[in-house]
Amino acid sequence: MNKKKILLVDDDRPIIKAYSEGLEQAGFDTTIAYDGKEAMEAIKKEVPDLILLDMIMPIMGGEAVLNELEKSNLFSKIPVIVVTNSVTEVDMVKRKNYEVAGYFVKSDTSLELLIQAVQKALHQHRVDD
Amino acid sequence: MRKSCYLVTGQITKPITELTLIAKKLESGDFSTKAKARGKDEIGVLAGAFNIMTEKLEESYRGLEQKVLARTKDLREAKAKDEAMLASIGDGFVATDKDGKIVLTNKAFQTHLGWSEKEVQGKKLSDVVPMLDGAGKAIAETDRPIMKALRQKSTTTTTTTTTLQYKRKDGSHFPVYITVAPVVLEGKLLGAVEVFRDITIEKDIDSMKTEFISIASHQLRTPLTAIKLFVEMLLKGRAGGLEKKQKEYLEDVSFSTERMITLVNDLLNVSRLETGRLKIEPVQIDLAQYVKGIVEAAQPLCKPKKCQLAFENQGSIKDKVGIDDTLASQVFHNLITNAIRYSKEGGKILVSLNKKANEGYIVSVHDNGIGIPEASQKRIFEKFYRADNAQKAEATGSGLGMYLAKMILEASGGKIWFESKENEGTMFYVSIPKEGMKEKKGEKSLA
Repeated sequence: MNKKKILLVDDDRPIIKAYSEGLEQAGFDTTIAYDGKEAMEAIKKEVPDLILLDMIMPIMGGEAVLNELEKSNLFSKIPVIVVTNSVTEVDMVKRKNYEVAGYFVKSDTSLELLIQAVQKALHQHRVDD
Repeated sequence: MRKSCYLVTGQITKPITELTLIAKKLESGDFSTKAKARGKDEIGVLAGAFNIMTEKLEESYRGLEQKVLARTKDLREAKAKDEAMLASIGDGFVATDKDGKIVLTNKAFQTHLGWSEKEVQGKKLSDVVPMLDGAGKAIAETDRPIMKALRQKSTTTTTTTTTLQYKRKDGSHFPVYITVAPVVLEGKLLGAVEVFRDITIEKDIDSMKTEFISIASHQLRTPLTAIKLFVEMLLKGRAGGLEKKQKEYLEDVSFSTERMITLVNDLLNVSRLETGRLKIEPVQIDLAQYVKGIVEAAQPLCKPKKCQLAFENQGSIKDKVGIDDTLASQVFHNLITNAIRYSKEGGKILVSLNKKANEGYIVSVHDNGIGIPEASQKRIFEKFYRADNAQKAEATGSGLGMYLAKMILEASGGKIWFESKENEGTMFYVSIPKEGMKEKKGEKSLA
């Protein structure tokens, strides 16, 4: 069975390293993008099975990525989990009713919980198909 | 004989004619002419009496005139004082008639908006001063506070949460806070008075505060997240097996990191609660199961002190109650962690649920710990306050938990109170209304 591909989008290198290593050890393939622009380029190259998306990033933020995904109708194809440390961004995501598979405050979320959320979102997505 | 007859007639008619003339002058307010003094006959007496009367009349007339002058001066001064007061109000002031046409403005109105009194007199306020929404779009006349006040005959106040702007004569605009009251005299609507304030500074401070919360939450949490994640990986043996001491030290790092994260979250929540824009979204849940779940989740915290933590559904309650999970769990979690924190080795903690006719649902948290000294009891709900014995017993604790709990409960219609005796223990009570937590629409959730 092919490994599921997770696109990690975050500008904080230590965090993205922890996520990447944690998910790899849990049996996923990970690709890293350090901002929204890199993320959009990565998606064009290869559509991932799931995106873990940070919100506040240089060059192109998470909100812009969500808007792009919405515009190109990719939400139904790729589950997106928002991971951010900004409460204001969480409020924004809720307010704008983006069809995300979940949102987590990074500092309150253990790696274990996040991996579970990724597995659940992938499973849910498969069931929906 | 004829001559003497004439003389007699002349002696009588002349003074009478004279008196008539004086009387006529008196009539026109001339008090200067006096009747000539004459003999002691009747005419002389009459002239004398006439002169006295003239004097008295003059006196009273002058008095009256003085009084009128004094009263006029008083009135003028009072009016000038009123006008000066109105003109000196720091906020913009404008009075209109019942059609919303400007009757009077003050200096602040003129300086804020750039119009002179003459330019705006008799014109409609809505025509002179356009009102814009936060995005700069014009607001329809009928939706403006002044027209609402005139229509509904009730005082209208704008809020600072939605942005309204006033446009100046030069086309620039500023955020404004407005209070309009209708002027009603003996049941008849005469017009309205409006007071407005430029709230540019308040808006700036508000957005600075929001910005600070946003930056603080992001910046402080990001490095903490990385520490948390790597410690988690190390503790799980992802980087190889750990010696006993290594594991112990890492657990200490993990404990401190979680403490720091809690502190940041508490600070953010206090800030959010204080801005008053927090939303409360109750969902119907089985209250007993809910509280039991929180108690179970806290069991691991009891281990270090070997405390016993138990839950008791005293009222055998099976009701579904409107609860905002994020907010309520913050309250109960704080109470339970405090009970553990201030318990002695092997202490007992009992969480009970009950229902009372008047107060609604009561959750109590009872411990036999160090208790709250009497001198500290009054201050327990103050922000950052920690009792002396609490500080000695435990270094952890931010002094924010009880303050947050009180704010959350008060905002949602509940209450919190306690009974305590030093060295014997503490019993905290929380009440939730029968109808559940009160819903509140807002723009923010807890961190």
